[in-house]
Amino acid sequence: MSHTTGLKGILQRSDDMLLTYNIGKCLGAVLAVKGLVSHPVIVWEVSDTRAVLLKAAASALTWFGADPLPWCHCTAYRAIVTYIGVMYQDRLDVNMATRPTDIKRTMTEVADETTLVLEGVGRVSRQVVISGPLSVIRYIGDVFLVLTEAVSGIRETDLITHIRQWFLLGVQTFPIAGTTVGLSSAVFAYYTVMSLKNYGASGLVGGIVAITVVRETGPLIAGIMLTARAGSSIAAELGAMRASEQIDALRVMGLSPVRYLASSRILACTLMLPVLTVLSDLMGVAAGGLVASSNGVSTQQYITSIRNALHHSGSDIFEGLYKAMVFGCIVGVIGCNEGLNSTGGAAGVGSSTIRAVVLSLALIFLADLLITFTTNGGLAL
Amino acid sequence: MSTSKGVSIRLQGICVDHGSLSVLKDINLTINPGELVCVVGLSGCGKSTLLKCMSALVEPTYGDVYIDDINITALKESQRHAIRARMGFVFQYAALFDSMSVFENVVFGIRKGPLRSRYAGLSRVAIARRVTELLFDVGLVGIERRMPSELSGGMRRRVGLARALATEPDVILYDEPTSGLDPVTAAAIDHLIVETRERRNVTSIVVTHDMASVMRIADRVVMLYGGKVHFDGSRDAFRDSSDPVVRQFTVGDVTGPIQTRMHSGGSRSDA
Repeated sequence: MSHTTGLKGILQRSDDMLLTYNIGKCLGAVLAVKGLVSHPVIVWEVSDTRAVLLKAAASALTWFGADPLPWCHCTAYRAIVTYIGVMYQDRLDVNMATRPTDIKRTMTEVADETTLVLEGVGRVSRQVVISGPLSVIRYIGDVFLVLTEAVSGIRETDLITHIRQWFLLGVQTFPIAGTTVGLSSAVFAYYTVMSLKNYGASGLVGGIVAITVVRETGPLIAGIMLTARAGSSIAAELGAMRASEQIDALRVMGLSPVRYLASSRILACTLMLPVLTVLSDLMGVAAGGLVASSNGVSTQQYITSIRNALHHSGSDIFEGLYKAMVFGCIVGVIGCNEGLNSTGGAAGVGSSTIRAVVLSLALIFLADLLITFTTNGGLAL
Repeated sequence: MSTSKGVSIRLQGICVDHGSLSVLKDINLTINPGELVCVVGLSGCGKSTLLKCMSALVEPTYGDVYIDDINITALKESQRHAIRARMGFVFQYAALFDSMSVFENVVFGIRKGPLRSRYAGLSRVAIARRVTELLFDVGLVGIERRMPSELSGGMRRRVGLARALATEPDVILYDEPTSGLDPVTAAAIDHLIVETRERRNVTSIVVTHDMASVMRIADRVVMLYGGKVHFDGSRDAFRDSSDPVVRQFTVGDVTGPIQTRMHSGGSRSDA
């Protein structure tokens, strides 16, 4: 008998490649599951194969016999016992031999079961370890492609289409954006006045409200409202166009859907959110003034405090407008990308709309953090 | 109306997988310039997918699509626009732009498409007349100002056909142009398809279930079955074929080698 290595060598001599493959998987899987990691390793690694195989298999069988757990009645267990019994009946004293054809069938079942389990584990691992990060990278790439193509297509879109989008996405968002910024500023002014009263500094409320609104809450809340109203609308509209093959109709007519549909929407969001922010800031400061005056702060004090607090170069206002432009761009690009890539019909439109809103909001908050820290010299640690 | 020189289409080893499902398996097909080919087959056998592969709306998993010897599968999306501009596509559910009127839909390719410079010299009146003529050709009169939501399914499909014809394409891909239409209108659409081909030598590929339509218009019939080309031959050869699958399909028999789910379910209940 020639020297072959490992379990594979022995079983190849049995002229049954199928069994070679299956018994290896069975032993490896079952012994590994039961914690006998060293056994399959020995079985596969050591050259004096027959003795080691028998030793490993015998200990496994003994162990199974001593502790018959419910899962030991599974096909894998029966297959191993049967196979070992057939091949090494004289040494192992196992009377479980069956006909080779039955063994082969059993082994095939085992292989199927084991393969399914291993494939499942593999799929999940791949999803978590490889596909997840890859899909994130791919998504970022898609977003940048949409953005660059949309920017290059802005000049191709006629002015009427641009103005229509400015009106639909910008002007119509103002009532809700202005109202929410105003309401939140009123609440903020109230708490600030109540706190400052304890220190006799309620006159400073105007400056605090103005800086907060202009630099943070104005663009942020306006951005959230734009996401809720315009981002969802863009994703749903483009998703519905995709589901009804209108996007395909554009493509087959030789037009780029990104240039034709996304350019005007992304530009509208990017340009209109700063405008909305300015108007919302005014609403917020005015609402804060009303609350402050009703709590004993004169209008003159309020305005003076604002003048003293805001930087004369206008950097506070510009930071807010810069944030607003970035937020608007995020809302437009994400909404367009989700809508244009929507799949799965009506249900897919819903999913892409949800994704557009959630992702836009998450990115707005992330961008807010990054812009705040980068424009103000980073974290003071 | 100018005469087209026609376009040849060659599919080479096309395979399309949707997840684990193989829709098309190794499709090899050559369509000659000016030919009118009907693609038939069971519902869900990949006819529309095949049509979309020809226009690169669907990326094949494997294989190449050549339009006049240009491999469009190897081109970037931006490079495909010029080739697609030579195509007209009649979608199964019309795919009209629902924010535009019928007039704006039909005139869209003329005004916005890559070939708009060809029509730059046309006056507004001339364009309006052309739209009216196109709509008249498909049996629609006086609906220019209506919105797609105000049209029936059949009318929408005919507007889609008029839109596809508006830019005088070299190849027209029809995705079930007569389904859901009454027999008279269906015959009129068939007549229009044949007339368009004869007048301009347009390469025409028609996906359809309608056997009467196939027998009226086809130069050649391609039957898909099991994701592959099961039959490829002339209309007469298709009609007279003794192949059991083709026979069952043309006759519309429930029993035969083609097992539909509904039929197999019926058999089980009978048993």
